[in-house]
Amino acid sequence: MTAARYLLVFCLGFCLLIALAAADAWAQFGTPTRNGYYVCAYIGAKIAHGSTIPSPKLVIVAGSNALAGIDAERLGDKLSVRVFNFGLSASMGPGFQTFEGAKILRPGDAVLMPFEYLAYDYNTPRDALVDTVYSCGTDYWHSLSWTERIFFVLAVRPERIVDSYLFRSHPQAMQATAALAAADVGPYGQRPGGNFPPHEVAVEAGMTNQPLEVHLDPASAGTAAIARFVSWAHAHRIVVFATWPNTIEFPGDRSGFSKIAAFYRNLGVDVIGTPQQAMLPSALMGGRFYHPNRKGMAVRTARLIEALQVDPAFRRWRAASNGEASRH
Amino acid sequence: MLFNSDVFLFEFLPAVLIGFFLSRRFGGPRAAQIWLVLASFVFYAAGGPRLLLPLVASIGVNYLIGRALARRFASGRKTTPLLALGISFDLALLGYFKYADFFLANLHGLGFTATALGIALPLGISFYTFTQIAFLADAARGEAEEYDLTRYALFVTFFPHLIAGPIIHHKEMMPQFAPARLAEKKLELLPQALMLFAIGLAKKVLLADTFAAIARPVFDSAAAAPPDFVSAWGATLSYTFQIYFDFSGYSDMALALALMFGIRLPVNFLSPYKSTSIIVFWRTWHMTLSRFLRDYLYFPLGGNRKGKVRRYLNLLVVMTIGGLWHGAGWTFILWGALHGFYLLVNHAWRRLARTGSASSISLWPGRIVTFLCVALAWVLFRSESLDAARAVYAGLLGLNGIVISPELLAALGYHHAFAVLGLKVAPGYFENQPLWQIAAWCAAGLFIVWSLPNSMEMSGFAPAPMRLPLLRFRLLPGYAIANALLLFVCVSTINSGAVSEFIYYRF
Repeated sequence: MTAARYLLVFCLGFCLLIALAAADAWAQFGTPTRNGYYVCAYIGAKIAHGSTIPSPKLVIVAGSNALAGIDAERLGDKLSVRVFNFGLSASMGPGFQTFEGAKILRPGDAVLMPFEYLAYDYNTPRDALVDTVYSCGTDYWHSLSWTERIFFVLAVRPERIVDSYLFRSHPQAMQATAALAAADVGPYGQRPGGNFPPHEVAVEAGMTNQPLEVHLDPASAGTAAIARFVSWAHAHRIVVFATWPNTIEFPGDRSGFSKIAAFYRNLGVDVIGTPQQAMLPSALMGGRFYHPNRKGMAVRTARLIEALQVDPAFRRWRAASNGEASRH
Repeated sequence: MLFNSDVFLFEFLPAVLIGFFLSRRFGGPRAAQIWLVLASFVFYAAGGPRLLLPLVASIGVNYLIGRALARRFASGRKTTPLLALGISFDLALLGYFKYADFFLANLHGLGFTATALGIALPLGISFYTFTQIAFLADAARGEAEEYDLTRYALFVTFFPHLIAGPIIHHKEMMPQFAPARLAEKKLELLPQALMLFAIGLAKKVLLADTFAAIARPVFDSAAAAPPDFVSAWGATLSYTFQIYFDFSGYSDMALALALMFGIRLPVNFLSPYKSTSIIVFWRTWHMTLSRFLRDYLYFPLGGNRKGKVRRYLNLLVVMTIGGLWHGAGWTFILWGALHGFYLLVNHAWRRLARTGSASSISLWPGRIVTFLCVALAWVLFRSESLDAARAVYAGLLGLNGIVISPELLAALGYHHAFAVLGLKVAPGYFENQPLWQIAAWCAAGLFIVWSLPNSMEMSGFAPAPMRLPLLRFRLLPGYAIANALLLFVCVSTINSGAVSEFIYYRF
């Protein structure tokens, strides 16, 4: 066999495998699994609630650290602004989180982004995001570049087709999942009562041992998505603030923190507070190292209120938005 | 830019390959040479354009000094002062970017007023600095010719080796970057390169990243939460496999990528964990670093020509500097020193046993002892601090207790015996992964590193006798299909999880 023939067989074989993966992806498009269906219904409920809140409003966009750790109702009461918590899951990545969050944003609104540290070097789509996009994310799929679509085609698990079939063959399960998702979204975007998890849960032993790394990759898909979103927001007269994600106390890498601050400074985004203000002791966490419990949420929200109250850019937006609100 | 990222695999590499073949065909080898230099700069700048500045400065200064040294040698003038200047510049650059903060932190620890500068480490600075120091030293001895700037820039920046080696030598590389050699069409090398690349990628994404997931939680939290006996051994063994598959996988990919352009990089790994002694281990692990340390540090220090004591001292010094080269931290320094001590003991043992071979004990005991010594040393290499390393060592000795998960206890059923022995029953580090899975992965790791042929043998890159000829690459349709399948599995795995960095990117 010659080298040319070897290369031909190799290329044909590789292309055939890619084609099979593409066929599998095509067959799976629009077919929800139980998890995917829940997330889709959950996002739908968030958009429905968030869209009813008149502008100007403050929308929190990030992963579950924000959902678990920032009490939107209390924040709104103390700051006299309308606040909606659009926190999803960190595994969705900042691209998807901002894409969905943007659906409830209007000119004059403000966004607060306490992205998890992993958002700053987020690259390949995680399983949860892939599952959601294949379940209901047609519009997100259309927003992707061709190369990003290829990544999604390669990322889908072949066995997902079975999960989806089993789930769809039980209409009652679908109804129950939708009801569960709707019940998890209250008027402020959080579970009614505002706490997450609903009761205090000690941080699991293994979870405290997970690494906490602060690493910003300027070439990553995560930072690119944040930059794109900030640019879109500025073009639509939406004010953007960033803050630090809630985590269990850890020493942290100072150079990583300053890289994140510099990244936002270059984008013209005000960073609220310090990384340490978002860190809580283990007793104030709920099950995961980035999920505050009920007490932790109260502590973190109070700290955030203090930090926002003294931030000149936020005060300017609030003054302008209160004037806007009184005109309506 | 990582070799195991989609951007590299689907955008950068195809574009550079197509550009290379087109520029060579329509613009000649000189155009292909320039194309490769530009592509290498783009590859490097992907990590942050600011990193280009020290690289460009380093190439410019070393090129000028190297040229001046070659001329001085040719005209019979003294080269030592200029060589000292060049090496001082290289060491100053490396010192500033890599060691300044370490030095300041130690000053601070001693009670002096010193604040860390927070300097970002340029990728691959240790590699391109060593490559150029060797060039200067040889230019001063008349062993390096005067080359044109493009060729020299390509020698330093050629993207397959730029970030994490192998550490190349101008004598073996410069002739290959000559226009006449670049003009040669070497299509027959592509199949072999594709196979080696797929093997290297598989080592990284299928093996190294799996072991990393086991080792990471334990090492990252060791100082705060000292690991128990089982966790410490699980993490230590896992890291031992992780670093081998990670670094040798990277080296395989680097060799394969270079081969796609018709360039042969030096082999960097030859089954190091099969070594029956530490001496053999260092002949087969990161071979290009060992070669550099031997030729440019050990020999100039006197090597083994100045008596036994001096030889042992030289070994200790060279290995400690080798440790420091890996990272600015006491853990790396101690790791190097520990290997220096191992070598010392190995040489002394060899003298004692009066044998000429590196190992004087039989195959399997030698292999097991060497593997364990290397694994224990990796604890220092991987630990974030000396406290963390101490905690892991204590765990390995059982000083942090032995934690049995409730599930395992239930399965074993010897409740009373465990209570008598005073064993703690609690979920340990590996609560999310059953212990049998970790044991199975470690057993698989041992099987691969001890029983299978290495990637150089499998790909036919280095001729070597093999016990399993079926695993040796051949130009047959079945191998082409297996090659495509392996690459596809790796690419799918990359896309269904987080892309992880190579360990040696940090050095």
